[in-house]
Amino acid sequence: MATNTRDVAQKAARWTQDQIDAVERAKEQQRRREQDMNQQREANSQNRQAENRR
Amino acid sequence: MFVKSWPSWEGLHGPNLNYFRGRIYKPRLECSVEASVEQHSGHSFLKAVVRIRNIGLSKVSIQQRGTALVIHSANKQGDPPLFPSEVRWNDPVAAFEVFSGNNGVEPSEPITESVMIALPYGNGLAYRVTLTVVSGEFWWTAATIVADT
Repeated sequence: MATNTRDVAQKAARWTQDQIDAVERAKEQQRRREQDMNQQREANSQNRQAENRR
Repeated sequence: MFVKSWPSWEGLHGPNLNYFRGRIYKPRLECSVEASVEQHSGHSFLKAVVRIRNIGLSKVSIQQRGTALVIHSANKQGDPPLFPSEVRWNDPVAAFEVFSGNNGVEPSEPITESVMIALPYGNGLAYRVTLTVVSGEFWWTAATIVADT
């Protein structure tokens, strides 16, 4: 009985940790995407400015 | 030989302590999320309002690791199904930090945050919006479904 309770608790803890890891991966992916998008915007803006100067 | 054994402090008060810990010191948080899709200047935006309220008697710390607003999109099937079938959700398509300015919630304190998310153009999908709040070994979730029509 005690073993079962401990197993269930361990499984629950592992599941929680997996969920947290999945959320953190998604957040990291989102951060990278936004960073890429901002860099792309910055590059486009600089290109436009360079064309306007010409 | 006479040995007098005294019950230990823990043995004497352990059950009471566990009772009080369970009743009083267990963190309790009420979470909710509301979402809607709005159109502005021809673009679709998902507006989410996330709320937490501490309904326990002790302060609940918010752990940023794992706390987020997570968005899943509906797994679009090629053809419409021949009978009603439950929608499958893709892996998280986006996740956003929430309550990052708060490291804890005092008893009875409500905290509300709004998040505005620009949706990909011409998507027309349904989204599941899930709030996850983590505090140590405890975590709470609330979810809602919204469609970009």
